Amino acid sequence: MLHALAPLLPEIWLLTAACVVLLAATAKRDAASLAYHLAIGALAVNALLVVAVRPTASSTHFFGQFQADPVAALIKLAATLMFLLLLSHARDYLRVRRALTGEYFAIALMALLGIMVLASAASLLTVYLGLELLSLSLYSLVAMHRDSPTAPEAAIKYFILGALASGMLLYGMSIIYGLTGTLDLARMAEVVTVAEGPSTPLFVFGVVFIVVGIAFKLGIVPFHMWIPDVYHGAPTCVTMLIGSAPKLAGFALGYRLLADGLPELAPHWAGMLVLLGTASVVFGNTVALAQTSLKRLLGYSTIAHMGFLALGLASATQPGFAAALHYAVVYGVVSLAAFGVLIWMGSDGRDADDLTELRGIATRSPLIGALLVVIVFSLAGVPPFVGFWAKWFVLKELVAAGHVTAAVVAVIFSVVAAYYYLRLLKLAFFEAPDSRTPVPETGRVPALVSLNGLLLVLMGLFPSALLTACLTAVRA
Amino acid sequence: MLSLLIWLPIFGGLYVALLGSRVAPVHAERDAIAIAALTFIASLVLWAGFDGSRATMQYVELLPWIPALNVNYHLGVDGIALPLIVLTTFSTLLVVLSANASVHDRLAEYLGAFLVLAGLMIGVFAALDAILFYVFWEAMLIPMFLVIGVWGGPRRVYATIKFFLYTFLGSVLMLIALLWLYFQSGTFDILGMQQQPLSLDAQTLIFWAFLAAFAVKIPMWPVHTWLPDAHVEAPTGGSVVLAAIMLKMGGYGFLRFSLPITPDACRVWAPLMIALSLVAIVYVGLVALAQRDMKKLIAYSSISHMGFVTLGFFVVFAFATVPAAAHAADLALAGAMFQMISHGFISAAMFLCVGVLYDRMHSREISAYGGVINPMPRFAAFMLLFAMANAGLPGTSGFVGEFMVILAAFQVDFWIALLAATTLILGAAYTLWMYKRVAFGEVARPAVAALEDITPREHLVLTSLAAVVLLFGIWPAPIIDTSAASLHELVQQVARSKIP
Repeated sequence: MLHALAPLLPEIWLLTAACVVLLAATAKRDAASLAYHLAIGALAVNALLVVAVRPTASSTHFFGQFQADPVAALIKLAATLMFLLLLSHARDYLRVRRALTGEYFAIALMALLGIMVLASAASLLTVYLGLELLSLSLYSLVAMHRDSPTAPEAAIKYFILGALASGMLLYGMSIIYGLTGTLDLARMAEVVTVAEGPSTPLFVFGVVFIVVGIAFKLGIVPFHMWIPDVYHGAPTCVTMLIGSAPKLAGFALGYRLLADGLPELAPHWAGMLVLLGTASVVFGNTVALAQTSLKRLLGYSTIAHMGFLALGLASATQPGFAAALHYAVVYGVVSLAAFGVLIWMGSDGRDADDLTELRGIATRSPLIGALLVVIVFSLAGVPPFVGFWAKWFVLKELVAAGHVTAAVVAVIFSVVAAYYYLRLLKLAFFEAPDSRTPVPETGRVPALVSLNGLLLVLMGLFPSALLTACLTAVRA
Repeated sequence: MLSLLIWLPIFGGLYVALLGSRVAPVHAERDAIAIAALTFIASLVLWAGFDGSRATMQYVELLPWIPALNVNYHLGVDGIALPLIVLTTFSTLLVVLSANASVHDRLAEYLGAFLVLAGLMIGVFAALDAILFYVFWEAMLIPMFLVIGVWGGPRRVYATIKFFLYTFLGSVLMLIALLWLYFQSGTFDILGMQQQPLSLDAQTLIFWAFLAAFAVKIPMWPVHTWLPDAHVEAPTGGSVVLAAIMLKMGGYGFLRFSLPITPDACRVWAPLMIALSLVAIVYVGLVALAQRDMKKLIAYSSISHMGFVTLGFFVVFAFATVPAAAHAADLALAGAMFQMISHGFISAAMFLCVGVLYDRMHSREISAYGGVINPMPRFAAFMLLFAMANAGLPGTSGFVGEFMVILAAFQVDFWIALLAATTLILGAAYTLWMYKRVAFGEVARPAVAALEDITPREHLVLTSLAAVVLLFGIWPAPIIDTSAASLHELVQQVARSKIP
């Protein structure tokens, strides 16, 4: 019995830990610090557990509900490490604003659990379970700032649109289930092969709704409407959370449903994803040009980035999935650094949001200036920083799959994107600061963001490790 | 050896920029000069050990970088890359030496940026893996973007963003072409890509994608408009590096990618390319005549001179397939190659001269000067020499390349050669007319009368440039011999059709 449960050890551990953290948080007043330390410890142990039980090949457990494979392990490890950084930033952010509560950490652990369940899902039920666990955690995190004028609105918007998307996804799932008679993804892949023929239109009908659900969770055009409002309305530490690790979940959702469950329908869903992905890159980058709020700008830039991720999935080949996975990991690390800078700039208790607050920041803090160079060029996909490799890998597989036109459109709109990214550097470097007060460069947030920036440089100079890890994981 | 040349200035530059702000600018400057000088010496050692009689790659370094995706850290130089590398290290040394006169704010970061830039540019010339090449090619934009934006003139933000976006747009199309080539040839090795047979349609698309990158960089008319803006707004060092080296990257790209990978498409489009080159030579030469700003004038003159380079590249296709005229093809390429190197020296010298005046008067307007020869006789003598070289006076290096290209063009068509030869008149007209208005005449303004002649360091910089301009003008053999074998190999390569 114990042996059979071994592959689920990280999930079991995390669920237990989340409950303990929740209990600790409510046990006494001012227990937030205790909850934080418990959560960090739980994450560290979780990372070790994920590494300890990492499989080299795919295997199914728990009556076909749960699968352990290298892709899932990679997603879990990356997400856990991101959460370590996220929670640490969140603690500083919330403490300055006197909003530090223990529940935050408990809910965040639940969100991570959702990502992990989704990553290992082997049936439609587990997919939905993981997805809802993650989504509900995120809705409540957005709403945590009760007194903020924007957060409740963002939360309601997120919740309603998210519920709509879940409904669409469920509808698609039910059609596929009705046609195949199975919830099991591997079994479904076999049945669909046989079922090609007169019922194909019905399958495509179901796939449309599944793709809509995935597109909504990723936030790609035309299901992106929630992104800018939620990014803008949520507290920065929650925006940071939504903007990083859940993108891995978005990838997992697409990968499990489309690559595992419906590989035979690839020509259909790949075509849809190429279209949606290209539209996202075009739309996200164009609208980002007009933004004056940093968080909204990063929101629209996310839409474009997730378009790239969708294009990776759209290649519908193993290297293509590896490229999408790599993109999700890289984008998570880059956006952690970007939001880290926002939290750093807001360390006086005011949320840094207007673009003009970047004005002359490089003079006030040379370290932020240097980090901005790394982050901005990573986002823009300029080598030698890591964002380039993410885009490069996706483009490479896109060209290999024959979608040269989509690749050309994507790179041309990357040039458009370069304009608004460069504008950030223009504000930071080429303009005089509004105030001469230096930004503090010591403390935990600056140290963590610097570490994060260093990671971006190293991943850019030595891209092989992560690229190879993604490739071997998908091939296993 | 090549790795040392690339990484010494990059790490040295980062060191200077990061630690430099904590120490006195003099110390940062001393470190920067030492690093630049070491790099220059290393490149001379490289040249001394180079065997010019072989067309193969030398000093090859091959390490796996991303083995799972066939990307390698693959370096090597041939006779085309080597002179450009030496040009890079030489210009960087001059820029570092002359920086303290024009930049007073954040000098350490300024010097660091140029050292990093130098390493990246050497990387572009030395890379033999297409992805490694692309990484250096793009990464180079970052320090230049910051140099123009931070230390540039009043319209620097507009100029630097325009510079970045123009070159970025060209480059990304090249990236797609490289990726597509990878799936045809199965390798990112540039030399391997050169061997890949391709249909004419495929070649045409790749040719245009490459052209987007290289034509913007070199720059060819009509995609040249970023250059005058960037030149005018950049600080002196930025203008020098832009003119002396960055433009040559476009030329290098043609030689390394366009010509050998898509020879048949090049042959088909050669008439258009020759026409565009002639437009650059004649029309842009006329535009230069009308400029009131000295830097803008030199910028347009650069475009006009680079027209000779592309003209030399593409007249080759008129007789590459005719065995009897193979010599003329060699001549055209050798002329274009020499023109690239020589223009590197001359344009650097011209921009440095303008820099000398600008540092003193803070004006680039020609009309703000007049009679400069009276207070600054030694400076005026140097500037006269460089102006003459820019106009292509025999005896200076400016003459050799243009003459060889015109000579080769004559064997293709009399009218092409005649139009190209108008540069000897136009170049003399705009350069010497500018010189006349700046240096000769009565001293009309008190500010000019109060000018001080060049400092010993400026003297050193200008003397070394004058020496090479005269040396290669009288004895061009070192450059021509170094690249002859590689260029001859290239001529044979483009003569073979790659259509399967």
